[in-house]
Amino acid sequence: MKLSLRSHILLPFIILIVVTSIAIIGSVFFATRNNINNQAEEALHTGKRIFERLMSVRGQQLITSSEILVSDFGFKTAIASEDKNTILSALENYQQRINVDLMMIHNLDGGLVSTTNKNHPYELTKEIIDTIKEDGGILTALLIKDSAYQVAILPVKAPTTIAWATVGVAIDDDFANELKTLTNLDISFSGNTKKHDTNTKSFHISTLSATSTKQHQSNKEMMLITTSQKEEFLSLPIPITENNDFLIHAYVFSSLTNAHAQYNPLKWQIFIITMLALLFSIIGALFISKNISQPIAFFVKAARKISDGHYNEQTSQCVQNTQEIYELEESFRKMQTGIAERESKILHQAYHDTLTGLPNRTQTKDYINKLINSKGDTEFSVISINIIGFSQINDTFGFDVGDNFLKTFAQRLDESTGNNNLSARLSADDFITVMTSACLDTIAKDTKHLKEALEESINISGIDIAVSIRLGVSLYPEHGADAEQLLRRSGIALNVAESRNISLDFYEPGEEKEHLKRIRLISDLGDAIKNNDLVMYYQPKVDLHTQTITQVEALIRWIHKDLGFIPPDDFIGLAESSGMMPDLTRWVLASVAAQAKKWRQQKIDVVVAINLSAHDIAHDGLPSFITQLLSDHQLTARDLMLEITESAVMENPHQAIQVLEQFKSLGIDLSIDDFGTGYSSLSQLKSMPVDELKIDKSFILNLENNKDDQVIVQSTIQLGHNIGLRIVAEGVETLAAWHLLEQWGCDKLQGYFISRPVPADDFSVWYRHYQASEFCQNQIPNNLEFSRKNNL
Amino acid sequence: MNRLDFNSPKCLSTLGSSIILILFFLSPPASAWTVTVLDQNGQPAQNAVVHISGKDITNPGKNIASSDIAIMDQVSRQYSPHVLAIHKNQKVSFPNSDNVRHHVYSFSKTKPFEMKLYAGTPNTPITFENEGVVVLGCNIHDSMLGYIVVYGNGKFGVVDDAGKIAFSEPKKNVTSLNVWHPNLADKTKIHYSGHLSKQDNITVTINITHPPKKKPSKKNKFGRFYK
Repeated sequence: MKLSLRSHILLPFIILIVVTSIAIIGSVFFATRNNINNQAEEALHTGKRIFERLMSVRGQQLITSSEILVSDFGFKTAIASEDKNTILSALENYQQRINVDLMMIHNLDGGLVSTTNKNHPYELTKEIIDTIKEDGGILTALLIKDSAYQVAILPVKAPTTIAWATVGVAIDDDFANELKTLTNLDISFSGNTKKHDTNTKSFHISTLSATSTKQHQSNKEMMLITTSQKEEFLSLPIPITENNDFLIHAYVFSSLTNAHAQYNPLKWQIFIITMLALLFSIIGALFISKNISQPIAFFVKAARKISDGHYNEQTSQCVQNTQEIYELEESFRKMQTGIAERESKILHQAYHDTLTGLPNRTQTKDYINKLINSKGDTEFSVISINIIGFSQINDTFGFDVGDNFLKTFAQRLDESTGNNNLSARLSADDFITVMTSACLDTIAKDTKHLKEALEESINISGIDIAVSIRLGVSLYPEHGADAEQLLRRSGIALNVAESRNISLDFYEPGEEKEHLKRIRLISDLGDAIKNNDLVMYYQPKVDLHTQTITQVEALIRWIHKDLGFIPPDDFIGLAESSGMMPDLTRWVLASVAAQAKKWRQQKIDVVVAINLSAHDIAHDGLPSFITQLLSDHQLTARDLMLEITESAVMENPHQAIQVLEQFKSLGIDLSIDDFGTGYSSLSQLKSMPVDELKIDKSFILNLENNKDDQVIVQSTIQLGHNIGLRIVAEGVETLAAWHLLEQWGCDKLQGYFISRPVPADDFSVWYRHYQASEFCQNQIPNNLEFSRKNNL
Repeated sequence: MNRLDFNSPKCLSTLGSSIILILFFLSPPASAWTVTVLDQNGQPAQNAVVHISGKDITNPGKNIASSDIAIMDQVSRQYSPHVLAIHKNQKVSFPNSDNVRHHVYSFSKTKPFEMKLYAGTPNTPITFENEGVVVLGCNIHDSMLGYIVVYGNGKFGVVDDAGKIAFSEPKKNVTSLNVWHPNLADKTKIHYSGHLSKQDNITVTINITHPPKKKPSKKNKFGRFYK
């Protein structure tokens, strides 16, 4: 169980006070009780001493009077007369004279001679007589029937002892009362005979009014007595006399009940004070706990509000205003506003791009989803925008300029898309715009406008920077059902535009599948290179001057385990865009070098031509790699040939020519592939260190039927020969084409009419067969047949 | 028998002692024998009186002369002698040798009398007609105590400081021998009868109570108030 704070504060207070109160009351009770007992005991001891003193004084008086008496000659004479009447009258006379209560004369044997207490004759015991004889007298107390007397017994000497004279005063109520007056204690006397038959109390007087009492032994000398009136007394017995016949005791009593009664007001006072203290303490504790728990409750409420996300609600002023609470409250308020600020900042960061302040992808997705979920037939376009060559801006002008460029661009984008639309920045130079109310009819126009608006040059620090962008567009609802899909497909459209090198592309259904396949191929291509899933095919070239096979072109083939044959055009582009081209090229070079070595050993003497991409040319390390490769396989530069497409050279003619010069200096023959499809000028062609031109097959395939092709090819052959280049025609598929080309002076032919590209082993077989046969026109169909049979 | 053995030197100068001397000289001084009285501790029992009687032992009591007056002096507030043994009907004079007056009295049944305050020697001695013991006191001096022992027959005497007394009467005539002492434990005479020992010296041992030698002071006298 969880106690409330108030209980936590209150409970120890109350427990402490109650315990303290009980302890105080208890200790007062025990202290007074002890005190009372001690006082009572002290009073009793004092009473005892007073009593003893009083008895002693009375005794001395008795002794004095009785000594005078027994010394009186007349008294002696009276005793000696032995006349009982005389003696009795003498006793009565003296009793009156010295004011005592009892006088007795005993003979030497203890027999009673005469007494003033006629009703109760008393004889002296031998014990007493012996004591008198020894001590010359005795002061004692006697129990005579129901009365007790303090007596002095002396010998009557005339001059030898002739009798015992007893003089006594009664121990009676008067005496008890006198003692009580003196000591302020109750007192009682009691005497018991010691006879065998009876041990009854034969003498009893007391100042106590109570008749019946109950005795408890209190300690070794005190007794605790409870009277029939329930009054408690502490009693101290004082032995007066004890002999063989009787014993007489005095008891002093001190009333405990009365003593307690004296302390009762004090006890009540303490009790009332304690109760008041308890009451005030509880009130105080309640007050304190309220003062603490109330602000805490306030803060609990406030904290709950904050935890629920209500940062901005100004909580009402706290009631309590002690310094600490005030400070706590201030801190709370600061914390509240701090959290609110930080949260809005975090929220902004979560949904916005830090550099440009545009929304980010997350917000874009939310926005798109919101549009999708909104009622009505919404139509909108998602336009992915990429700044072409932004990395070059960064490289050229530095990151500060780059950042400013992006900011300006973002601002421009935001302005040009309008309030109803959303523009966002996804990554470095990738932006996105969601344009609503776009139907296909207007989107093309709108997009064009947007593109024009964005492509105005941006001036940063006095530098005019041209802006070139590419757009990929996906439309809702045609191109996707959710934000993720729409964003991805607009991105795919952008990729397509990029791969096609166009500035605007609309997503078309199926492109995504293509895109996914490309992604798969990219991942599989790496494995294929590692696992040698790629194979090299070789297609021979016929030298028309010798009618022999002097060259083969190495062509890469990828038989995918699931997708089957993959055309090189598909995966070469992937390898280039995914950065695997160097690996692929090296694999091809190594594979071809190994095959060339094998053929040398088999005495198949062909030059192997390898295709290099534009990417390969841009790669600086290739010439040294080839040098190393040749020496590793004991090959010479003459054993290899490199083919570069015209378009690859034209992408960066200056660099291409430099690299080609390096290859050339190694002694490797170079060939321009696909000649006639690029845009090379004749002066560039002239400056290129190449040995051979390969006329693109698009000019050859339909040569015999197309007059234009015939003119172009014939002119190209003549042109090439005129600037000292050999001419190769590829795509020769018919005998007619062969004859035409041979007729025009073409140097080498390549094509299905001669042989399809075939695996290396098949080529070896084909080569031996071809070389062995003496070339003639009639044999060609056989060759064709053979080659077709062995093709895939 | 030396007379010095008989009487205390104190008494030599007194008239009484002369009379006793005469008595002894009158009797035939045949075979003298002594009685020694000792107390229970074997000490001489001073002040003891020894009395013998027999048929041939003369009783001079009837013939006592009127001039035969015994003396009970009072010296230094004491009776002197402490014990006086006399014959029946013998007179005793009570001279006062002190310079203070005395009030001599006796409450004894043998002879109660009283001689009120006087000084010097009274004119009339007192005759003791009965046998028995007379205790003498002085009314104004409680410490004064004296005894007069009165015999009707036989021979008797107070022992000397050594507890001895000599008799000249033949032993065979003695039929009884009594010893008395003021402090006898049972307050009766010690009586011997029958044949006496043939030895010359007879020793009698008696039980006497010695009064406390040092009297407790008055304060302690009643000290046993609380037992």
